[in-house]
Amino acid sequence: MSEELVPIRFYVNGEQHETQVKAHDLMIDFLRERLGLTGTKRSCDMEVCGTCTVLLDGKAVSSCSLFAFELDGKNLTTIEGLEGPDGLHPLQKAFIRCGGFQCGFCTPGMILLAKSLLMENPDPTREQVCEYMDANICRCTGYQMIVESILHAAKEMQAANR
Amino acid sequence: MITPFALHQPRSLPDALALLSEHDGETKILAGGSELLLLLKMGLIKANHIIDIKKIPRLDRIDYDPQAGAIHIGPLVTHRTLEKSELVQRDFPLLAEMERDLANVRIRNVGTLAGNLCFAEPHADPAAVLAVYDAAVTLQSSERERRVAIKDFFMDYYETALEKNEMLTDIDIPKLPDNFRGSYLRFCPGEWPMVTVALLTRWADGACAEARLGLGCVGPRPIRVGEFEQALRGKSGDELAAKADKLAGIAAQSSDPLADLWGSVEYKRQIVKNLVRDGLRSQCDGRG
Repeated sequence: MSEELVPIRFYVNGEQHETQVKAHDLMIDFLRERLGLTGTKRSCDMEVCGTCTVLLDGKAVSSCSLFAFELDGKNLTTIEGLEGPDGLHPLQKAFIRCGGFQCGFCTPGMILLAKSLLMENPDPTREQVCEYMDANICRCTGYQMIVESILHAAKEMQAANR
Repeated sequence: MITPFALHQPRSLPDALALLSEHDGETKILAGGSELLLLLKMGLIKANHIIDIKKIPRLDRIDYDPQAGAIHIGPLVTHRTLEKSELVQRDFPLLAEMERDLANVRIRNVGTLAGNLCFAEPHADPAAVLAVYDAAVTLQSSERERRVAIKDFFMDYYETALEKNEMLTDIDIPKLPDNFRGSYLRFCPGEWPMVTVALLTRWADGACAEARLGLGCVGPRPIRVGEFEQALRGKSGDELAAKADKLAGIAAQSSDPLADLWGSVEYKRQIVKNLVRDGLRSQCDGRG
């Protein structure tokens, strides 16, 4: 079977790209190896652990189990796209302030999943945070601090919007 | 590593079905891909052709047909869309509850209900709920269209009634009268459920007028437990609450689980019994 090339056009972190990918390329490999966006991590490779979480049109998805060609026409956000002109995103600041990571491997996925939660629900209860975030795994088991970080960020973001 | 394949992105359903007939065998349909990519990456299946149906309009619709009193779910409708749908939450609460519990939000954002069914993964949530709702699926090829009851769609572990040139194009679920109570219970120590239980009861004059019990993950297909459903009929809530343990035993005996990583046959039967008993008791209390 020849390696079919598929033309795709999409935005990553606000920047437009137009390129070709092999039909069987996975999104995570394309992001890490072609675009150099290595903040997106691979671990379980089966949509369970959440280290490969990216936001596709604002929705949290597992980039390990999507094809690269599925980026066509989409708007993608990776961890590299969170920092704004004013520096780190409030979620990133909150993870630092509240000790929301230890080894840091799950952190990009945790922060992006938290971002999708706060876009859907800007003022979640602790229970809602736990329920939503149970999608992603932290092997250092720093879950309490991750929850604290997200609740803290939600407060900061709400205050900033007032 | 996924081996190379030819990618097709048809713009209409007839085009997709024509492609399926043309390349029968080693051809896979891509909707959400949350099942397909796992199996491709593990090398458990191989595809020479992949037909991506996401560019076909209107396959992502949820429609209510008031004449038939049924909801129609297109093959691109994701778990998350069903979970969030006001129509589903209002008229098919057990379906909404099941979708909220399914896997994780990343998978629910991408995976479709139709795709989930097509892989007939035994440790999956939807089958038991669809069985108690008496759901059916429509299977279409270029030559014909047929409607198959959900219990007949599942043939065996990872096997369905789909022919190689057929595509699942619709899931229909009849709406129940308002006075049904429902419970969806699952035991899920990891990512995939070990046992799922869906129980619906309808009550009239203090007695159970109708019951439907579906068991999932404990056999090659969802199980409706006719003996249990019969045994509930005409009994009062108090009577059923007192007998819940014994009745749940009927359900456990009707289950046909495999011993696997989740547990032994005996352990899974005990879990079935516990879940059915809890579900039944909650509905006898007037809750649920």
